[in-house]
Amino acid sequence: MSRPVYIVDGARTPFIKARGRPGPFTPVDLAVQCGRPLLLRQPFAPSAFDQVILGCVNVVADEMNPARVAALRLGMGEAMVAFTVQINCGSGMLSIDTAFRYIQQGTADLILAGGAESLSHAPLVLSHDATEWFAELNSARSPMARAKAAMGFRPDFLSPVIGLERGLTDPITDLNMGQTAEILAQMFDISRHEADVYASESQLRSARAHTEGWFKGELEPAFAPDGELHDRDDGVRADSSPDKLAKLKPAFEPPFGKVTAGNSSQITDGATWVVLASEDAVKEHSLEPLAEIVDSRWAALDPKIMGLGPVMSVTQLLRAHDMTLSDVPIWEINEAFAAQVLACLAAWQDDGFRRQVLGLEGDFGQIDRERLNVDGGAIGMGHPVGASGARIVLHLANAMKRLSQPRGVATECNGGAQGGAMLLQSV
Amino acid sequence: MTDTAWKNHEQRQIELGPDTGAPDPWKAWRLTRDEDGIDWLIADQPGASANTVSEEVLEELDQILAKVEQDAPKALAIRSAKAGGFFAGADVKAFVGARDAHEVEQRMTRAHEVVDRLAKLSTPTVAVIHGYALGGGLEIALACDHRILVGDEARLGFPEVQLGLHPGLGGTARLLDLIDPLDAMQMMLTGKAKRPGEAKAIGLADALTEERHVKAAVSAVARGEFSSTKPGRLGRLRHQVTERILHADLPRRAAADRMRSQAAKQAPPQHYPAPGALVDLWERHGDDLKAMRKAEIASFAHLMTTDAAQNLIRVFFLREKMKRLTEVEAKAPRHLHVIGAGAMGGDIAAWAAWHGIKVTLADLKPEIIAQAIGRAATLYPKLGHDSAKTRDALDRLIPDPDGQGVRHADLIIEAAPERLDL
Repeated sequence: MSRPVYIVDGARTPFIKARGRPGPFTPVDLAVQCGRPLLLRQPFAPSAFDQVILGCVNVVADEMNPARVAALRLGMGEAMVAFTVQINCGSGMLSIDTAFRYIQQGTADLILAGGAESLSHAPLVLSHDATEWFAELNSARSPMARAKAAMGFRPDFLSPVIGLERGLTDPITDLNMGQTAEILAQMFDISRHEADVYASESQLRSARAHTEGWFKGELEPAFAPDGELHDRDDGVRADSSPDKLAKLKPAFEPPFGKVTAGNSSQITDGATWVVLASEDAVKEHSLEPLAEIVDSRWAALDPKIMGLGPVMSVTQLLRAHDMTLSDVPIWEINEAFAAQVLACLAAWQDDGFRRQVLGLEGDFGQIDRERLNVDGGAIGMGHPVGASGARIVLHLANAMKRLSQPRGVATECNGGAQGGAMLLQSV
Repeated sequence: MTDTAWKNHEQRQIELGPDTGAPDPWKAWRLTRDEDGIDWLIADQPGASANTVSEEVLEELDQILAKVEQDAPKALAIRSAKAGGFFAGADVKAFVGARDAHEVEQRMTRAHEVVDRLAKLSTPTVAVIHGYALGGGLEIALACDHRILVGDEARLGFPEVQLGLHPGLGGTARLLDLIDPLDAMQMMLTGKAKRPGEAKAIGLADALTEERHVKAAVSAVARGEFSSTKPGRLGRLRHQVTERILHADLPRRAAADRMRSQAAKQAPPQHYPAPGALVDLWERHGDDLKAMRKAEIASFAHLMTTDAAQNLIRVFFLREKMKRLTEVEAKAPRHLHVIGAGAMGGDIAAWAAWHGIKVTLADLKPEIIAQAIGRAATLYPKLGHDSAKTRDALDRLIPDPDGQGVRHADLIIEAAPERLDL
């Protein structure tokens, strides 16, 4: 049995820049912030959902299985099944994909799926040696043994490892994510200037979408306990230009690298929820679908070039439906790095790559910049890793509706070198 | 579709010993023996939502104690069947209009005999306390060998001072004997009730536990395994030192003088004699607690006949009556929608959310809602120390700039300023 699956609504928090210290919200706080207004505007009770799925990469210790904690805090009832999924930057899309499969095969009718990430809350981790020292101290029984154990202390035990830094480093290749973008820039000959032009355009598109009110309903304000209102993505710069971005120093491979803080996604906190419904649920609750999920694909490749994940997964997805890039009028490719997005576009135009890697004979079409990330992306708005995959799916659905486009694809690369792609069509 | 497993199978019965179904010869009490040979004495006054210590209750207790002396059970557990607590206090109604101190003294002497009989029982005794154990209730608990507090809601205190009295059922001497004399005097002079954590810390309670472990705790008392967990080593040392110092007349007199002048600052002694009387009692008999119990009767009887106590008792009953009159049958709303997040609307919303109501808070300006959330987040930690409770209340307080809550609310409060330009 294969049943249609609809995106009927969704909301996200503003994406809030991490400013070197824990921000106002944990992952579950963020999920609650955008979940409350979203649930409030539904015609059915929060307990009417069959289950809750949440993507979250950096789970904090107080909120193990954040999906379940969020479901309970949102008042969805004690009987709500909820679980958390993790595939790094694609976690938010994986949660929607999982929900899609459950509904498609008929085991659920109404699922709340999304992603939440508070990168500012990523933990400081004790070094291995410091952890060993603590363990010894704790297991020492006699005062003498304790004194002896205490003697083993070294001052460098006090300097913690920044969890986020380790998290953004590939454990197999020991390259950080920015370095993988540098590799792609070299592979596909992307210049620093091209990356900056792309990044500046992305910033301006996000700023315009804010000004025009195109995020209304999609972006719900967050209200912090300190009384502060967060009502926009605070990393967006309306005054961005290639000239300004040209002044920034390379962030990952100085002094000659091309990837800077300005042409990379921003480290942010944020959450997104999407309401997914079967045909039955749409009828039962008189819902108005935004878009239909047609299909999705995941693909994997060498961790050194993780940024090509979209090329691999999208190619699989479109071939399964006998389409090329040109058949899809509107695109969301998550902007991990400007150079990485441009490398993806270039890969599809590279004869050798197309033939040898993708196994494509001849042309596979192309994605114009005008059709890609029409309202900007993670370079301006930020990339709360667990939430981004859900944000691009939700925004794609909203943008398709606003621009009256019949179909669209959302895709992202995942740390660890995987890619996810999801095809939507209008209803 | 909420969970039915908990709703249907949540343990609603509190542990009250076996239910034999046999009729009890007493009105306010029932006594049953469990399979381990432990007697469960359950206070359950008919037609009342709370137990109070009345002369009738004590007379019945006397008969029960005679039976227990004969039966010699492994242990005696005293507990209340009322949801609200152990005993809400003594039955002050019986003393309304009392003008004859001698008569009060006679009645109190009789009451003391019963409580002393409980204290002297050779069977190990344990008071199992959930909710309130105030005044006379706490005095019964103090006459037991052990006090076990159940759950977070237990409150132990001597509020007599608020009625122009001090404890009168031997509580002054027994409290001074059990805990640090300075803690004891402070408790009786302020009338403030102790929460479980504090009660344990000052040695007033032997153990804190949950309902599910009550039976095991009482069995431990019966087997003599119950190690009365007094305050930590440091607390015990402090207790011993102050006790020894204050056993001597001179330091006790100095401390008493200080208490007297502090109490006088709060309320003039000529109009409000109770604190002074309590301090006198301690100053004179702090080194001989048996003599103190005796002297307590006379002091209490005298206070009871003063205008201060009689007036305060009258006010107390008037207040209780008012409370009953204003208790409206109306059910609290499940979802409240508040329009206007200014000082008034925001605070109404915060208050309702704290009390478990789902609240949507609307305002044309989201910044105003944000400020209201900020105020609530500052207020909540002051209302309760439980950070989970603060989190849940803030989760229930839902900012609603679009006014979506109107459709769901069963009560709407408009607290917006009546301004034409809005």
